[in-house]
Amino acid sequence: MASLPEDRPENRFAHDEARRDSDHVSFLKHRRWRWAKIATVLSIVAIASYLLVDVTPRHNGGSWYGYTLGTVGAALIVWLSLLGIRKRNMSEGRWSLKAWTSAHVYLGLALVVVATLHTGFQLGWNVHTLAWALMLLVVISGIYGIAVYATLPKEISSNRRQMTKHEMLEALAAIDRQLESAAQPLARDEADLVIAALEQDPFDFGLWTRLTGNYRRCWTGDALAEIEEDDSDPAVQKVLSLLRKRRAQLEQIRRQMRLRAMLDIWLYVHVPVTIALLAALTAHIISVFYYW
Amino acid sequence: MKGRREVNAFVEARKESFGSAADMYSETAAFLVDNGIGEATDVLLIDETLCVGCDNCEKACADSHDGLSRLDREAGRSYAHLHVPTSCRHCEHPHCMADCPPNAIKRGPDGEVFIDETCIGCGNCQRNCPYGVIRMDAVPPKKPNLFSWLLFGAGPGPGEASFGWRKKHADPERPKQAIKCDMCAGIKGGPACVRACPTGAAIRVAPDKFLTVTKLTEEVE
Repeated sequence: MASLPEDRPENRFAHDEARRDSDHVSFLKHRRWRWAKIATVLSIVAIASYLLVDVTPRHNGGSWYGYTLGTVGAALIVWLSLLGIRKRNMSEGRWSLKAWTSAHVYLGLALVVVATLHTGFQLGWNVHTLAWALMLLVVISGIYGIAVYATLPKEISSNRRQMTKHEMLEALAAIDRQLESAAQPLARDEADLVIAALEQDPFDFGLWTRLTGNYRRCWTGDALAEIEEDDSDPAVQKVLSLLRKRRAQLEQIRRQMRLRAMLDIWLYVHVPVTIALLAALTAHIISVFYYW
Repeated sequence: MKGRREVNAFVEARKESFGSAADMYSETAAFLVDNGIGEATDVLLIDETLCVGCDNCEKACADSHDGLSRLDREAGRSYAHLHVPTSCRHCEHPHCMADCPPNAIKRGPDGEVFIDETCIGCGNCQRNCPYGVIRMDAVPPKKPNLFSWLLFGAGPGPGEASFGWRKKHADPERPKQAIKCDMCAGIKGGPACVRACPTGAAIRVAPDKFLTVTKLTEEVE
């Protein structure tokens, strides 16, 4: 009888799992948390050295230790902001944007520790603290970004039910065409409600409504509330049924817009504040050396 | 024993959404086969639990291939959050090859099915492809480089330029030709769509992994 190899997996399941493509893993767990581990080590080294190194009279950004942390922090800020270039520059070579994103996330979190220790907790109303505060704002918006990137894609996928944006809008247009002809036999006031619903731009309600999903001024809902059910009138029944379909289709599109807005909105803080941070950081470095 | 426990835990976790874990696998497998994976030799899949819809895969595809994307991320079928975008499967017996007058469609050394420059733009391959992954278009003019766009707003920016920009700047004599995914053959580093995905949602899968790819690695770790 042939002997089994020593390292034979316990069952096919484990064997198959071992063969699976190790690339199918999210950016947060890239290479078994490689960048999370590196960032943790960097933070621990920074905190431990802060406690162990004796700077007189007290820790500050101008000591040799403060300059070291400041250089590391500035280098991290410049490197972290280069993700925007890396993402858009489709050059050849064995790089992966997932690895960059993973490093960006964890080193960005470690930057809070490095930069805060660099300040020596000497904060005030000046350009130096401005740079620190902007850095914090960028990291906080980034933390929101990580949270929504980790949770919302599944909801977006479930909501779109295999439809593309274009298909959703086409479905709405098809309902609108049917509704327009179905409303012809209605009485004047009821027909006006349908016309008003059809003429309203159903998506232009401002940012707050888009984010909350609370479309109170939607005239499709008003038309549904005001046109009374009439079992004896098939025209009214048809219009009500189409209005319900329209409301459902609008809800799907609006939910999609809401989720997409939540997924993207933090970038409108993260990116411009990063540019402001780079400017403040330049001012901070120049002023420090100018007044040496 | 540990492996057995993992299987049991997996079955327990999934029994509410499927009759059994076997059902989930077989249904996911059936979905993949229905979408042409059965005859594929390499396919792009998108894990929709990770995809943030940034379309960087499409932009990277366009920027790696004459400014035209060969993939439509959003279109295509999905099942259990696994999405098969409109992109070439590099079929074992390619339907597109069947009726190409200049015999311009060939298979490369890495299994990629590609269209060479002898294409006459007849559109037969586009009509024959059951998965709708071949498009007919003229190669657009070169865009200003990334830094001109980033610093001065010159040109249309990364990714495929808008139809309007392409028409405005294109050479009207340039004929339409068939274009499709060539698995980034000859491009160092491999498929641009996968390299450019910031979250790890885009994966390329070979036949030996088709049926085990349905789960995220972290689910079994």
